[in-house]
Order: sequence, then C-alpha cells, then structure tokens
Amino acid sequence: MHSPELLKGTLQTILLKLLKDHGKMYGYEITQRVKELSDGRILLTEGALYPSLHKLEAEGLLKTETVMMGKRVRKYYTLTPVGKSLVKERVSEFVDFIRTMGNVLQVELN
Amino acid sequence: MLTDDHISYIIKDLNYRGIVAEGIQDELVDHICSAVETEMASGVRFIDAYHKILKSFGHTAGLRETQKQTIRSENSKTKDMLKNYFTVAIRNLRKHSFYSFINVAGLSIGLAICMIIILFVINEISYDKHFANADRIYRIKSEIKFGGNHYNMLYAPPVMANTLVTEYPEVEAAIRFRERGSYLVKRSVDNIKEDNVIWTDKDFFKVFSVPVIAGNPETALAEPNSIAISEAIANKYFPMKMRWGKLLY
Repeated sequence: MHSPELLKGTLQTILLKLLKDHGKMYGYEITQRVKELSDGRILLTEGALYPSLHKLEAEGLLKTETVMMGKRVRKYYTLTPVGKSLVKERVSEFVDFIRTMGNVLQVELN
Repeated sequence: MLTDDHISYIIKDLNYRGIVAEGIQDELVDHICSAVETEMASGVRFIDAYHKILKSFGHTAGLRETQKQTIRSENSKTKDMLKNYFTVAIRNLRKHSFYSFINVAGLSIGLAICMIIILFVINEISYDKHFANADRIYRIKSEIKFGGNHYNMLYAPPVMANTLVTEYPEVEAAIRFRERGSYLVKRSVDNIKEDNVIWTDKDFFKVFSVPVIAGNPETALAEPNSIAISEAIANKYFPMKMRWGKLLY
C-alpha cells in the first residue's frame, strides 16, 4: 500500500480523471473504484476524500446531485464543463511529473 | 440489505458522535451504509460490520476530523470566512441583546462625546489664526478679587494699553476694543441698526493684518470718528461703488 503522504498531491488528479471516465459517482464508489484500479494498493481515506471533493465543488470543478434512497441520501458528483476542460491538463501534468521524478531519482520508467 | 432500523441507528449514532454539518452528514451516512453493506455481504453481523467501518474512519475523532477538514476545505475563500464571522457576530449580538445594547449604546455615546470634544478643541485652537502675527497677539484677561468677589473678565482698564507699551519693553503695541451694543448708522435720511460696531485704537492695522481693499491702513483710523468697514457693509450702504467722500453718521 502506498503511503498517504505520496497520495496527497495526486488526489485531485485521481478524482477528476475518475469522474471523467465514469460520469457520476458517489464517495464510497470512488474509494472502491480506486481500490480496484490500484489492486488494493491505494486506499483513499475518507478523511482525505471528502475534504477534496468538497474543495473541488467549492472551486466549481464539480457539481453534485442528491438522490433519495429510502432513508438515506446519496450524493453524486459530476464534472462541470470547467472541470472537464481541466482533466487532460492535470493528467498530462502528472505524467510529466512522474517522468521528471524518474530523471531526478535516476530510475528507468517503463 | 440494510433495514431502515439499521440506517436509523447509523444516522443517530453518527449524530451522537458529532457529525452534524449539513452536506457532509448525509454523505458520511451513505458512505458508511455502503461500506457496512459490503461487509455484511460476506456474512458479518450488522453491529460488527458497523464497528469495523467506524474503526477505519478512526472512530469519533477521525469522523470529526473528516467533518472539520471538509468544512474547512469548503470555506477556504476569505469572503466566506468573513461572511461567517459576520454571521457569528450578529448571532451573538442577538443572543445577548441586552448587553449588546448597553455595549453598543455606551460605545456610541462615548465616541460621540469624544468627537464633540475633539471638534470643540479643534475649533477653540483654530480661530484668529489668520492674522500674520497670530502667535504674537495676546488678549488681556483680568482676574480680580474684590470685596469677597472673584471676577474673571476679558476686560481691562483703558490705561492698561498705554502702560503696557511704555513700561514693558517686550510689548510692541497694544490695541483697545470697546463694544457698546448696537448703533444706529445713518447715511442720508434712513437709520440702520448695526450690531457689530467696535471702537478701537488707530494702530489697529499694525497689529491685525486685515487685508485692505481701498484706503491707507496707516491713516484710516488716525482721526477721531473715522471708520473702517468691511466689503459687505460697504456694498450695503454704497451700492453704486461711489464710496469716497460720503459720510456715515
């Protein structure tokens, strides 16, 4: 499992990309999807996930819709047009970062 | 999978643990319900599943921290923060309305009085500064104790002026003023009552730098019964600008 320290700066990128690929998602679904994609090596903690989601929403990159499910309320997140336009840039920025890190740490990336 | 009772239990328990913020509360309930459902699918009892999920959140402290961080990340804008401060301030004022009233009223009255005092002082030290020699002009004040009475007067005996000039070398000049109520001023036939008529010494213009429009300030008041008038008074009595050689009685 990767350390949460490493994850800190990448969380927003993960969230934006996931929402771009899946349309609308709710919190728990996001953690499960990340777990699945990373073979259980990235476990998003709720303590990091929800603040990030709310921050992105406050910045206008995400919008939410709530669905009543019996006694519980489910909140789905989707990208706003602004958010959508940012995804590609963020992902390529991060890929670029990995490449730079490879150079800095003198390791070969496949 | 979860019954309504289970969900009610989770909502109530989270509430009890202090998860009350609008927006995050429903979300955490749903998250925990989903996680509990997943756990229960593998045959775990509800309460065990619930406590396992709670543990992964870090129990009450972790839940509260999540709530706190979420609220903080939403309110990162300075504008929102100030708005929040303002709301809290208003609520506090409402809550303690009596003390707020005393505080606000007291502060207002205090500030108002302070401002009045400042205005008064500024006014007191501002006037009569337009004379060129303002810093060298003094007014005589008399303090007299006589027959058991204590007088504080801005009057002095007529001889004071001459005495000061002749016997005190630091006094360069002395001017006397005398005001005796209003006078009737006559131009030709009509009498006009004037309130501001003041008798003074001939050296008035030497001490007080009053700008002169017409005439010679050296000699204007040299002769008895001569007069110096302001532009407004001149216009009042001689509207046609034919001022010289006319008489006022």
